[in-house]
Amino acid sequence: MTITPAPINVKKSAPTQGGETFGFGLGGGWRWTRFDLLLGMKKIVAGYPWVMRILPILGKFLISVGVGVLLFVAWTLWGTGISTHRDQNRLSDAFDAAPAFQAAAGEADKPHGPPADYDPKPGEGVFRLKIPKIKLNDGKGYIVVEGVDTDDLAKGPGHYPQCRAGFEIADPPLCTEHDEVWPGERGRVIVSGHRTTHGAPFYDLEQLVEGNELIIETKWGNFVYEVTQTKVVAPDAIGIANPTATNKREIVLTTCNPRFSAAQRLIVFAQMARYTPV
Amino acid sequence: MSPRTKRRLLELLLWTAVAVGTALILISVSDKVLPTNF
Repeated sequence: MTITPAPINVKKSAPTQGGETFGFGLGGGWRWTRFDLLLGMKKIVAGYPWVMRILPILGKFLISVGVGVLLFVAWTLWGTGISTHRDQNRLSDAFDAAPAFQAAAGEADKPHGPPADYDPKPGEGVFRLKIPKIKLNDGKGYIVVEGVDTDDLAKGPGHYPQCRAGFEIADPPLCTEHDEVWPGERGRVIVSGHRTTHGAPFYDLEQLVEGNELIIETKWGNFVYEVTQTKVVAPDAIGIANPTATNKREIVLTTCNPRFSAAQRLIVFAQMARYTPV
Repeated sequence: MSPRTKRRLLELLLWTAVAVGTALILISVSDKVLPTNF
């Protein structure tokens, strides 16, 4: 659409006269003020009655869509936590009610993993994680579930599983071809959690420093890990999610970084410091 | 209730439905758009 200044309220103004101008000259020394532009737009649309009818509807529609976007943001940040806390209460009760595993002969006094036939299903609670430094879940800790897909992480932090029935290979991979490692075992235990949604279990993870404790309660023993380092990596640094990356008893916590962004991943490394039999 | 008030209430209901519908659509696609541990 070409707008010609002649029939509309325009004034000739020298730059030295002051006043607010848009700074785009229309030629010949004519400049539009903001008032001129509004008046001009009104005159233009007055020639098209259907525009005058549609504009208020369009405005209300856009405001409604904007309110919808705000509702979505509110739900994502706070609403998703409602179902997560409900799931956590259920998982915590089930975890506390489950019997402890009997250690194999001669294994009870040294750190060890669960029985060889331990095969938790996707979304099943597998151990409790407490991080005193950041008062994880007001100090109660989170029940870590088996699996790291969307449904699993909606319930709480997820333990990176071995690819088997129920854990399909996805892109990026959400399970490992290697044997999965459990707390107490040699190798890398990998736990992922939400940073800002679904209860935001790892919201304060960047506050952890070397020496901070991670307390892990399982049905085969209780373990204290100490943070050794934290690292920020690219989202495609999937080599970290490798249970065989170390022969030490290690756990890594992974989450999105910075908060409210998925541009990077924050990784916390910790190594086992103490073990208490159940 | 006057017809004018009734019409305005109905209009408010319509725009509320648009806002809630928008939010529901965004929620339904967010699982596919947001990374798993966002």
